Amino acid sequence: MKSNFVATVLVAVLMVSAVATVGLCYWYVRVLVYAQALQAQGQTLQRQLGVASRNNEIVRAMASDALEYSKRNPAIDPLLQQLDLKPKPSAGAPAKPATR
Amino acid sequence: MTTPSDPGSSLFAKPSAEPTPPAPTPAELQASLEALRKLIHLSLGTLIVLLAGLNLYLFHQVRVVRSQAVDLTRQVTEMAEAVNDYTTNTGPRLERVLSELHRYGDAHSDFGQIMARYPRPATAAARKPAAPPSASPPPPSVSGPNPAPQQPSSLLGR
Repeated sequence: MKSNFVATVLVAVLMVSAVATVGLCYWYVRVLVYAQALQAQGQTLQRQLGVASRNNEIVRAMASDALEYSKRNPAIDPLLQQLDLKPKPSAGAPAKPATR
Repeated sequence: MTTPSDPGSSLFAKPSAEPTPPAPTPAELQASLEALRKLIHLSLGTLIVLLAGLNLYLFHQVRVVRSQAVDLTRQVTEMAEAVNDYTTNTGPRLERVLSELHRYGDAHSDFGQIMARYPRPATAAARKPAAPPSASPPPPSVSGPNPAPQQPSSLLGR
């Protein structure tokens, strides 16, 4: 009788443990799938940031060339100032001394 | 099973050279039963220990993957914010700079030669809206936002 009771308890513990294993497996798979989806999304965003960074570099190089050009040809200055690539002359700047 | 009076079956009957084992006594049966019980208990206990170890391992793995998912969520959120910022603020400004300088280059050939080194911005019609990244499934137990960022505008038409 006692042996039967022990066996019953052992089987019950085994069942509970098996159910816990199944539940943990399910939880693990769900978390893993979620992490993989996040990783894929992160890679997509990384690529987009790479494109954005490359665009930044190109426009920066172009602005640098435009500023270099403006030293030889100041006619482009209004456009560069309009695009905030070159600081606008401040209103309170000292005027050129009048030549006598 | 075969009887001497059955002449047909005597051809296939094996000679009973070995003596039949004596029937086990009740005490022997009891001992065998106890041994079998002990074996079953031992097997059940071993299975329980193995399953407990497997459960511990799985629980540890779940915790590790969850912490990684939390980190990934934070990174994805930051990147999505950066991409959104680029899409809404930086991208249009860069595109405006690019198009204005190219327009100036079209009007002034000397500057146009400089601008020829840089790609022209794509026209709005040529720009195809890229498919947004697939929304990830709802977090099972990881808290945190799940942003669906917009694509950065293909400023240079590439």
